[in-house]
Amino acid sequence: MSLNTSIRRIALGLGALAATFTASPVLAQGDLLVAPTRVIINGAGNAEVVLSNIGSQAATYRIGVELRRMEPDGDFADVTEAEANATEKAAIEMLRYAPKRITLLPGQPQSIRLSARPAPELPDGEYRVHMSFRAVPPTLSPEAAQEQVAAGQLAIRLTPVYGITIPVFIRKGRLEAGATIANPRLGGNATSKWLELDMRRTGQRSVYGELLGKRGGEQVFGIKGIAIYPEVQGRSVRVPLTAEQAAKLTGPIRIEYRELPENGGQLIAEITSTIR
Amino acid sequence: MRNTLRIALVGAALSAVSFASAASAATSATANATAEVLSTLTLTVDSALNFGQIAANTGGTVTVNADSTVASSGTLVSTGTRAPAGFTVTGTPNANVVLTLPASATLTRSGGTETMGIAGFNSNPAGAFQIGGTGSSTFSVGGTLSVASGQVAGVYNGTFSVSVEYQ
Repeated sequence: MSLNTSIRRIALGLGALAATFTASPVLAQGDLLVAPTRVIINGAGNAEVVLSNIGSQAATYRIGVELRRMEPDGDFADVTEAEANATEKAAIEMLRYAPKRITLLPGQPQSIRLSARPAPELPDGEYRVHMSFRAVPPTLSPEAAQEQVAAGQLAIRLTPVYGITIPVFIRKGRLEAGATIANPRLGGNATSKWLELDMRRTGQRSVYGELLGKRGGEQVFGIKGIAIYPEVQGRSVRVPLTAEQAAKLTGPIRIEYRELPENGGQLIAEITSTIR
Repeated sequence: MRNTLRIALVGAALSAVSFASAASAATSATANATAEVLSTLTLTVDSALNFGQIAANTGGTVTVNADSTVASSGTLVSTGTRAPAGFTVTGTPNANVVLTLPASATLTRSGGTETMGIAGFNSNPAGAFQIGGTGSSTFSVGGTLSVASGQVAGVYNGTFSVSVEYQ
């Protein structure tokens, strides 16, 4: 082994410039579809999520749970197990799901069953994990790996392990929440324009909905799926604008934050303001 | 019965066709079907992250950014096709999607312990973005590969995780 390595190292040293390192990208299989894309379990209960292989080859998927925290700009930060706080640890412990690994033929869907049992002594609140669905990259045959080495080159096989995560909320107790919108302002650079605004959240759970901008009766912009999670008191939202949309944002503009239409479309927050 | 209906509806969601009133009540006055059309999110890979051909002298870095700009440092020579990984995400039109990338990834030589690192993962668009009005958007992912001085030849295998989530 060590002899082998040193020989190769010398060979590489001699032919430094001539040694062409070939990158051989491997396309991962494992295109996937997940539905629904949010799960809310009130108290103890069950839910079901469907995973489907939409690729052209059979693929194996691993199902797991991860922790994320929202940041003030609305992005997510990964949280490792060691960094998890009591609420996050409790969320992982109360959720059971199966199966954890599935092999699916092209076009084949399968349900994953979820069940939540929050311990009675836990304080009321919203517990959340992010359930991940990721394709397992196919293992390389030893022959394939050997072939590249024999050619005396350096090959890079970088496989994207790509997947979808969905938030799973377990709500214990009667939880209320509200939100406010403040400080809408225009921003932009040479290539793009946007509307930025600050949102604040109150209460013991997350809020979720769509942002609509209206001038008179006309809707100028709409952006779906804006959440504020309990770990942040507020966040900023940036709405990308086309030149046409930006031109329409003159005079008083009404900005509404509403539940999604499929959840009743109820108004959560609103502001009417002249935007500069 | 309920299971059958749910599976049928998911099937409809798969082909992006929603039929809210699949069960016709024409022959039965008591038929009472509730239909649940689920929101979906799909992710497909279009192209791999490619660092091209590298001829290393005393090592250096090769950067392939998500916006397709490339750079290299050190004494290595980097040629050939260098391109970021490309993905397509399909879901609800105008919905906000958040991308999660790793901080770094490690490539390990097949049959050995030597490694190379990739850091500085970046995406275009960055962080969060809106799915287009057609219900589909593409994004790309790039990063910086570090090649050590006297990097041992071989096949270096590694993975990096990319995930998308509706906010």
